[in-house]
Amino acid sequence: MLPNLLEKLQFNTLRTKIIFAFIIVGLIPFLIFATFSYHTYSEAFYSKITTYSEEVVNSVVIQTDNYLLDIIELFEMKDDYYINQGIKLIQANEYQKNRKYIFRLWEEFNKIIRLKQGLNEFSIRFNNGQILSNFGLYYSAERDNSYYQDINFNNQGYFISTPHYNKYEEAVISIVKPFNTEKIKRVFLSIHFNIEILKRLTNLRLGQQGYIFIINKNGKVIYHPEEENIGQKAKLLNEYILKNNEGSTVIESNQKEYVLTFSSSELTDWKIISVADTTQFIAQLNELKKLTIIGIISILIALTIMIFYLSFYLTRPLKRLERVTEKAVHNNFNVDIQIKGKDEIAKLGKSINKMMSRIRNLVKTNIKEQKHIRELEVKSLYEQIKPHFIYNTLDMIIGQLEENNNIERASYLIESLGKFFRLSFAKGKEMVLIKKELDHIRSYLDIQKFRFMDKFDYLISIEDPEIKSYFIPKLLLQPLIENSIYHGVLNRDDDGLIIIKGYKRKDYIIFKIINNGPGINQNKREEISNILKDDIKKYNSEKNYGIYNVNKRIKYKFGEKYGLYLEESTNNKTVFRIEIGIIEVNEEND
Amino acid sequence: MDRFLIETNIKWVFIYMFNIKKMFKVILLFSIIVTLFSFCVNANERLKIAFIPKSLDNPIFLDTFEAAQKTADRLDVILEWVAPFETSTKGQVKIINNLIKQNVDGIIISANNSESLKTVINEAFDKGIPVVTFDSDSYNSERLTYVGTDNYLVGSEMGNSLLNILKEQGKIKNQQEIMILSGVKGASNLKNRIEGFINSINENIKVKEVDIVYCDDNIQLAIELVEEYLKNNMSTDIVFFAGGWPFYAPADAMPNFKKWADQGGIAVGIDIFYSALILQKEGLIDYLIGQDFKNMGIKSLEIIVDFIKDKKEPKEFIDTGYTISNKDNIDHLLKIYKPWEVR
Repeated sequence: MLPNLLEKLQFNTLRTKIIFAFIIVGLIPFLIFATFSYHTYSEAFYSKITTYSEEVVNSVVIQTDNYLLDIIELFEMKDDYYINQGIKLIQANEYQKNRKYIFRLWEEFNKIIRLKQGLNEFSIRFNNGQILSNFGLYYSAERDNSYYQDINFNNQGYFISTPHYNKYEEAVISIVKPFNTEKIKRVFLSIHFNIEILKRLTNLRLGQQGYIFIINKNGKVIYHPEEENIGQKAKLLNEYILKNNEGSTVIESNQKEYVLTFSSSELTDWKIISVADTTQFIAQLNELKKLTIIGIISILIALTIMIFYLSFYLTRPLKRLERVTEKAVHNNFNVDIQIKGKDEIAKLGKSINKMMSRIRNLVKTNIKEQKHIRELEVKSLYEQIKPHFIYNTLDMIIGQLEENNNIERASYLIESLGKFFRLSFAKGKEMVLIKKELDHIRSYLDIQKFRFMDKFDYLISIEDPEIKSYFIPKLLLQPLIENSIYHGVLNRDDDGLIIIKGYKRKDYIIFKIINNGPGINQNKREEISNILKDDIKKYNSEKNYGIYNVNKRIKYKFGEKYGLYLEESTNNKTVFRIEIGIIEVNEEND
Repeated sequence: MDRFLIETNIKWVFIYMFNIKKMFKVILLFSIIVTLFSFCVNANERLKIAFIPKSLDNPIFLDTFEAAQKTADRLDVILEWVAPFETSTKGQVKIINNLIKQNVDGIIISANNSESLKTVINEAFDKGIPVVTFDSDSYNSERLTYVGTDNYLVGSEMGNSLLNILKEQGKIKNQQEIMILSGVKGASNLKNRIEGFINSINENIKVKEVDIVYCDDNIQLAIELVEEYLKNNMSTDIVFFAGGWPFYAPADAMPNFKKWADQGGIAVGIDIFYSALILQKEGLIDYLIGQDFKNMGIKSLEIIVDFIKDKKEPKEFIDTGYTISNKDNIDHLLKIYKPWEVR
C-alpha cells in the first residue's frame, strides 16, 4: 500500500528515495537516543529525588535524636535536694510554710529551660494532676491528662507525647520520665519543647512544594508544616510506611502523586517522612520532553535541508547522465559527458562516454557498410544489366522479328526481358522473396537459352517449397548462373545443363548452382578460393567481380559464417554452393 | 429462676403500661430526682480559680501565694498559681487565653499593663469568667473589682513622709533633684503611686529635676540601674522607689547607693519585707510603706468565690491598707517580718 502511495505521489525518484532513506537513517538513531536519554534522565531524576530525600530524612532523624538526647540528659537530677524536698512538701500539702522551696524550684526550672533552645517548661507532675513548673503551681487541664494516662514508657524509661498545648497556648511535645523514688513513683518529671523546633529541624529544601512531616508509630502526626494536621492521623500514609523502618513509596492523593521517603528513629519511634510532589518533577520532565521534541524537530528540519542539498548534489551527475542518455535515445550520439571527480558516477560517465564513442563508431561502420552494400548492389546491377547483354537480347528479338518473323518467340523474349528488368529494378529494395529471385533467374536463363540456341538446358529444383516465402538479397544468384553459362555449359560440345537446387538445413537456406561444363582448372580454383576469402586485389577484379560481389553481399547481410563456396569442380561438373540465413520477414517492408 | 424474674418484670411493665396516670407520676418523680441530683453534682464541683501575679521571680508575691493557698483550702476551691517567670505582659495575655480555653471559674490578676490586658480581660468577661485585679489594676476593663493598695494614697503618704524627713534634716527649702525607680511602664499601680508622690511634694518643695527610670520589674536590672544612676548623679537629693525591687540585695551589693546614702541622700520606697527593713536599719533607706500582699490573696479569692457562688457584687475597690516603717517602728517590724531565704 505504501509503495503504491509513494508511486502515486511520484516519490519514487532516486532523489526522494535518498531523502527518505537519509531521514529515516538519520532520525531513527536520534529518536532511539532521545527516548533512551529521556528514560535515563527521568530514572536518574527520580533516583536523585529519593537519594536526596533519604539524606535529608536521615539528617533530620539524627538532628532530632540529638536534640531529644540533650533534653533527656536534663532529667538527670534525681539527687537535687530542692526537687526532692519540693515533692515531699507538695505531697504533704505543707508547701505554704515552705514557700522558699517552691520559689527556688521555679528558678531552677527556669534555668533548665534556658539551657536549650526550644524548651519552654520543666515540670514535676503529681498523680492528682498537680503540676509544679516554671509556669507556677497548677493542675493539668483535662485536655492534657490524656497524655499521662496509661503511659507506656519505652526501654529507655521515658515517654514522648503527641503534640498538645502549654500555658502559653503553644504547641509543645512532652518528654516524660518517672521520678526515681519508689514511694512516690507516680510523680513524673516532664520537659516540654516547642514544636517550632521540629519546624526548624525539618525546614530543609525539598523542591518548591516538598516538605517534611513526622508521625509516631501509630501514624499520628507529630509535626506537619500545616498546623491543622498536627495530632491527626496522617493523610499521606500507607501500610508500607507503617511496616517498614525506611524506604520510599509513591502515594496518590487528590489526583496528585507524591514520592514519600522515610526513615525511623529508634529513640522516639517516630518516622521522618519527606514529601516530594511529583507535579514539579513531571513539569520538569515535560519541559525535558518539550525540549527533546523541539530538538527532534530542529534536527529533522536541519537534516531535511542537508539531505535535500546532499541528494541534489549526489544526483546532479546522474541527472546529467539521464539527459545525455535521453539524447542518445533520440539518436543523438554526438554527446559528451563532462567528467569531474573519480567516484562511481564519474566512472559511469566515462563508461557512457566510451559507449557513445563505440556507438558512434559502430554507426559510422554501419553507414560505411551500408554504403558499400549499395555500391555492391549498384555494381551487381551494373554487372547484371550489361549493355551488350541488353543489345544482344534486343538484337535477338529484332532478328526474330525480321528474319524469322517469329512473333511468338519475340513476344516470349520480350516478356522474359520485362520480368528480368522488373526484378532488377524492383522498387530499389535490397531483399526480395526467393520465389521472385527464382522467377528472375528463370527469365534470365530463358533469355540466355534462347540467345545461345538451346545449347544448354536448366533445371530449378526446390526441395523445400517453404523457402520460397523467405527473403534473399536481390540478384544474388544471377552472377553464378551467368558464370555457369559462360564458363561452364557454353564450353561443352554437347548439351549443357544447369541445375539450381534449393533447400533448407536447420537455420540455413542452401542453393547449389551446378553445371556440367568442363570444370575449372587448378589455378582458377585457387584464384576463386582466394577471392572468396576476400583476397581479390591480387587478381583481376573485373574478371572475378561476380563471385566476389555475391560472397561479400552474403557476408554483409548474414554474417561471416555464411557465404559462397566452390564445392566441387571436375571435368564435367562444377558446383557452387550458397549458404544464407533465413529471413522470414523483410524488415524493409516494415 | 432468671426466666421467672424476667417474666415477672414484663408483667409489671404491662401493668404500668395500662395504668397511664401512674406512669405519668413515675416519669415526673424520675425527672425531679434527676434535676436535684444534677444540682447536687454542680454544687459539689470545686471551683477552679487562677491567680496570675506579675511574674514568678518576684518574691513579693509569695505572701499572696501563701495566703491564697490557705484561703483556697478553706474555701475548698482549686487554686492555680500561674504566671510568666519574668514580668511579661504578653505572657500574661497568653496565660489568660489558655485559662479561657480551660474554662476556669475565675481569674485574679496583677496587671503588668493596664491597657494591654484590657482586651483579654474583657474576653474572659464575655465568656462568663469573672476577673478580679489585685496589686495592679486594669481599671478600664470589665474586671469585677480591684483588690489592693490605694496606690495614689500610698504615693501621697510617701510624699508627705518625705516632706517630714526634709524638714527634720533642714533641707525643705533646697532645690531637690529626684530620681524615681519604677517597674513596668503602663502598670497602673506604679503610675498612681508616682502621681500621688509628685503631687504631694510639688506643692511644698522646689523640684529641680525628676528622672524616672524603669526596671521592668527585674530585680537585677533595678540594682544595676540604681547603682549606675547614682554613680553618675551623686548630687541626687532624693530617690523614690515606687516598688521594692532593689531591696532584695544586701547593702554590700550596692556600694554607690550606700555611698550616696552615707553622703546624705534620702531614699524612700514602697514595699516592706525583711531585707528591705535591714537596708532601712543600716541607714540606706529612710522611710518605707508596705502593702498587704497577704490580704490581697485572701480578699481577692474570697470576693471572686462569693461572686461566683452567691452572685455577691463586690465594691469597685477593696482597699487592703498599708504599713509604714520608720525609725520608730523598725525594730518592731524586724521581729514580725521573716527572711524569705529565696536569694
